[in-house]
Amino acid sequence: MYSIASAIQSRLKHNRKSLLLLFLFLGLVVAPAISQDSTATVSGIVQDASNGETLIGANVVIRSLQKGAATNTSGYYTIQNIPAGDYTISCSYLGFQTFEKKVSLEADESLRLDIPLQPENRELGEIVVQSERQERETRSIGRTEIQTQMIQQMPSVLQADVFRSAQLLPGVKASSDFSSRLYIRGGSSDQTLILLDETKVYNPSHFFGFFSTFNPDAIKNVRLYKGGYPAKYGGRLGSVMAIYNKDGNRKERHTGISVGLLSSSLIHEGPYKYGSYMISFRRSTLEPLLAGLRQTQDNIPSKFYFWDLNGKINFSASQDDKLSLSFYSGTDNVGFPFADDGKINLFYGNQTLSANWTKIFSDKLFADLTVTGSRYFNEPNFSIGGTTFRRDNEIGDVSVKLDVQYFLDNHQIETGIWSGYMDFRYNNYFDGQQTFYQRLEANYNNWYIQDTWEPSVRWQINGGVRLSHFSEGDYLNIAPRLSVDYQLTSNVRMQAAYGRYYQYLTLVTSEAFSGFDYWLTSDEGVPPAWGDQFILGTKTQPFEGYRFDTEIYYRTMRDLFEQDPFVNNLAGKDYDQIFRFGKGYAYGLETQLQKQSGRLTGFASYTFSRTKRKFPGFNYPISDPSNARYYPPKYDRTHDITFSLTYQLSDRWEASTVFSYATGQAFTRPNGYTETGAFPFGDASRGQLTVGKVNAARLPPYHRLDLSATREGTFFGMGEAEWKFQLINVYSRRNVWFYNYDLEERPIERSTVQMLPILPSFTYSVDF
Amino acid sequence: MRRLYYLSLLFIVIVIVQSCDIYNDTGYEERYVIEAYLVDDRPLPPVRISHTVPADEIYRFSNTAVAGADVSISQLDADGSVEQRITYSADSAGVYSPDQSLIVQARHTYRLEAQIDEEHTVTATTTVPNSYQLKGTVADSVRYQVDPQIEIDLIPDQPDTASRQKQFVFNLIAENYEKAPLTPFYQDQLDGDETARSDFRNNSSGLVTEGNFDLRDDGSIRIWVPWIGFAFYGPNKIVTNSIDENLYDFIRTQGIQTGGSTLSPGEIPNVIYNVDGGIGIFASMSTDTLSTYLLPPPSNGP
Repeated sequence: MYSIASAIQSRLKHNRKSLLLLFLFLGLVVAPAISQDSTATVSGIVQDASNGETLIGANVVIRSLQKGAATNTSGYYTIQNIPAGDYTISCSYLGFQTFEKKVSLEADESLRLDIPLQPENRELGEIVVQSERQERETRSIGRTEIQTQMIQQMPSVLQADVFRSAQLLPGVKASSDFSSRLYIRGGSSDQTLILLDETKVYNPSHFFGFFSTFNPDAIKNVRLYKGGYPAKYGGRLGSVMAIYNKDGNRKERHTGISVGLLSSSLIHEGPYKYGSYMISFRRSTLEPLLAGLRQTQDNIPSKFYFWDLNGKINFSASQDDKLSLSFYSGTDNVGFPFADDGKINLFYGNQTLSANWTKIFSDKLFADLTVTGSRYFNEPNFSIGGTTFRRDNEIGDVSVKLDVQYFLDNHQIETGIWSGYMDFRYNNYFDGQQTFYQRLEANYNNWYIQDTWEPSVRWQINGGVRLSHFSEGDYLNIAPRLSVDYQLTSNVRMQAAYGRYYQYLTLVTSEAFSGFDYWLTSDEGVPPAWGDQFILGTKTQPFEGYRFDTEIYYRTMRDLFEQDPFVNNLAGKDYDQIFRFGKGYAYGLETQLQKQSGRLTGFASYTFSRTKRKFPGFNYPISDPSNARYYPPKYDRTHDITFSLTYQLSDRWEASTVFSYATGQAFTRPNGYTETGAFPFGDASRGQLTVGKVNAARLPPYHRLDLSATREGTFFGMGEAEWKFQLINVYSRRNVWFYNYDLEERPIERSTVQMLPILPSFTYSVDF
Repeated sequence: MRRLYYLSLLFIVIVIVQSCDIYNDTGYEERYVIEAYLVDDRPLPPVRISHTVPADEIYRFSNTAVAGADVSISQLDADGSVEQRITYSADSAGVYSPDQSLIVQARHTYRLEAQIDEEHTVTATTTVPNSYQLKGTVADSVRYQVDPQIEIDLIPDQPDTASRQKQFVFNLIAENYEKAPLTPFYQDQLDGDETARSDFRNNSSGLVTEGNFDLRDDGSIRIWVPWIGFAFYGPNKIVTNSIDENLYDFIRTQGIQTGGSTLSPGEIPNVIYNVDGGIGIFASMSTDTLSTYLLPPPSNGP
C-alpha cells in the first residue's frame, strides 16, 4: 500500500493542479450528467416539531421497498429511484415519535416532503424502534453519536460537559480527573480533530483543562468518529469530533438560566421573520469564593475567571437556500501570586466564526459552503524576582470549505475542498528579550471524493480518497479510505474499515494543565505525522431494545513529531532542531452492551487496549544509548470497564450513576540513585535517579462511582425548573494521578498526588 | 452456551495478545559512577568513583565509594592519540588525585579511564570549551531592579570554531550571605519553608545558550545578568562558566527527572551521561569572574 501511495504521490507532485481540477470536474459535472430521471424522488428536511431544529442522522424509509436515507448534517435527506405507486414514508429518530405518511408518486415526480418529528412522550417503558437503516447510520464503524440528553443526564464533575461524557465511551480515555482532553484509541489528545459548526477549535478547554469549552445548553448534536473516519475529514491521525450548535428555536422564544457552583449560564433563542437565532453565555462564578478565601488563605489566585459566548443566526432565504452565521468566543484568565515578587499569569482562549450556505440544487444535488475563521491564543507568563518568562502561541486559521453531495441511484457521492490560510506564531521571551521566534504562514488545501454505495440491501461500501497539501515544506499526501458494512442477519452486522491519515500539527502538552499547552506545525525538515488504521467490527441486537457492539483496531503512527523534552531552552535553535521524531502503534478491543429503552437505560462497556511509542535517544538501556525502546505513554490503560445507567423513577425524578474501573496509568519507577559530590554550580548536590524502562510500572487501578439525581418542576408557574444533585466519587477513592519524588530527602521520598476526593455539587436550571 | 464459547474465545485472545506485548521493568542494576570536572587553566581535578544504591536506600558517598580502581586521565591530540597520561592514586575512599600536575587547556580533549576490576572499565572523554574573558563596565554598585541590568561582554580568547551553540551557566555567589538581607523573592522562600540562607549563597542560572543574548560579529557575546540570580544584597561575585557537551547533557536531562519539561508527570528518563561502562559526569568548562555590590531599592533602605 505504501509503495502505491508513494508512486501516486510522486506523480501528483508534478501534476497536482490539473488533477485536482479534473477530479472536481468529474465529481461535479460528469456524475450529474449520467443520472437518470425515470423514477420518482422524495426529499426534504427533517426537523424537531417542537422547536424547528433540524435533526442530524434521522432515518427516512419506504419499508415496502426497503429503501431509505439518513439526513445529513443539515437535516436533508433524499430517496431516489422510487417506482411510481403508493407508499408509506416513515421517519424515525431516537427520542421522537415515528412519523408516517402515505404518498402517491408519479413517474419522474420529485416530491418535497419536509418532516416535523414530535418529541416522544415521556411515557415510562416506551420502546423507541429504530429501523435497520438508522441502525446502520448511527452505528457505522468507529462512529458514535453522543446524545445531548446523555450529556445532561450523566453525573459530571461540577457541571455537564461534552468531553467528560465522551470519556465514558469505550476507547476514549482521560489523562486524569482534572483533564477533559480526549485520548482516543491510543492517540494523544492532538490526534482528535475538534470541529464546532465545521470550524476547527484548537484548545477547547476551560479551567486549566478541567472541562471543555462547549456549553451543553447550546449544542444540538455531537458526532464522534473514534477511528476509520471517512475521506470527508482529515488533518488528524486518529479521530474526529464534530459538534453542531443549536440553530435556535424556530417556534417560540425561550430563555434558560442555569446556576452552578463553578459557573452559571444563560441561553436565549427564538424565531424571527426569516429564521431563528440562539445566543448563550456562560461565566465562572468562583470570584466571591476566592475573595473570601484570600482573607484567610495564602496562594489563592488574585484573578480567576473564564467565559464563553456562543451564538448562531439562521436565515432562510428560500426553501432551498439557508444561511447561517455562528460564532464562539471563550477566554480563561488566571493570576496566581505564588510568592513575594513571584507571579504566574495564564491567559488563553479561542474564537471561531463560521458562515454557512446550504443549497439544495435539486433532489439529487446538495451543497454546503462554509467560510470559517478560528483563532487560538495562549500567553502564559511568569515573573520571578524581577525576571520575566513569557511564551506566546497564536494560531489564526481562515478557510473556505465546500461540500457537495450527489445522489445517484444507490450511490451517494460526496466531494469537497477545504482550503485555508494558517498564521502560526510561537515566541519565547526571557527577561524582556525575545529568545525564540517562529512565524509560519501556511496555505493548506484539501480535496476529497467519496462514494457510499449500496449494491444491495445487505451491503454498504464507502470508498474515498483525500488529497492534502501543506505549503510549509511543500507536503502533498494522498490518503485512501475504505469501509465495508455487511448485514449478516437481521440483527448482526459485520464491518471493516481501513484508512490512511496525515497530521500537520502537534500539541505540546504535559497532559497536566492545558493552560500551558501550545501547538507547533510541520515545516521544512518537520514532515507531517501519518498512520494507517485497520478496524473490524460487529454490531448486533441480541434482544429488543439492546445493542451489543464490538470493534477491534490496529493503528500505526509514523513520523510523530513533538517538542524534544530535553530541549529546555529554545534560544538560538532552528525550528526543526526543537523536535524529536518517532513512531508508535496502538491496538485494542472495545465492547459495549447498550440498553436504549425502558425505565432503565444506559450501557456497560469493556475496552482492552495498548499503545506504545518510540523516540530515538529516549528510553534506551543506560549501557546502549542507540537502542531506543517502545514505551507506553502515561495515558495508556490496558483494561477499562464502565457502567453508565439512568433510571426514570417517576415523571419528575430521574437517577443516574456511572462506575468506572481502569488499569492504573503507566509511570516510571526509579530503581537506583546516586548524586554528585562536587558539582560546580550551586552548593547543593544533584541527585539522579536511574531507571530501567520508562513507564514500565503501573499506578494503582483507577475506579470511581458517581451518582446524580434530577428533579423536574416549575419555577413559580413561569417556567420549567430542574434541580440536579450530584455526588462525585461516592466512596472517595483517592485515585493516584502521579508520584512525585523528592531528591532532597534521604532516602528519596515519594509523595502521591491524588485526584478528586468525594465532591458534591448541584445545579439549578430554569427555562422560560 | 454459544455466547459463553465466544466470550471464552475472546478472553483467550486477549490473554495471548497481552502476553505477546510484555513490557516489564528491568529492576535495579548497580552501576559505577564517576565524577570529575576539568577547568581551563587549572590543574587536573580529583576523580570520585562510587556506585549507585537502590532507590529506597539512603545514599552516602562513604558507603558507595569504590576503592582500588586504576584511574588515569589522558590528554589527547587532534587525532585522538595520547599526548600525556596522568595516573591517579587514591586520596581517600573513592576519591582519586593525580600523581602529577597537569594544567588543563581550553580546546583540548581529555579521556578518563577507570579500571574498577578485571571486568569493569569506565571511560569518558571531554573537550574543554573555549575560554572567555569577562569585560564590562560593571559599576561598583547597582541598585536592585532600579538600575539597568548589568551588562557583560564575553570575549573569546580565540575564535570559536565549534559548530554547536555555546552553552553557559552563570553563578551568582553572595560573599556575605550570613548577614546580608535577602531580595524579596528569596526572603519569601526563606519565610515559607525550612530553607536555610546558605541554600541561596551560590545561585546557579541553569542552562543559558548564546542564543539568549546578542552574538556580535567579533565573536563576543553581550549578556544581561537577570535579577532573579541575585538572592542577597551586598557583595556578589558573577561567575561565567562556558560548559562542555557533557555538562550540557547532564544539566538538561537531570533537571527534568522530577518534572518541568513537556514530559507527562511521572515519566522519568535516565540522565544522559556520555560515559561508557558506567554513569556519571566527566566534564569540563572555562570560567571567569567579576564582582559587584547590590543595593536594595530605595524604599527598602538607603
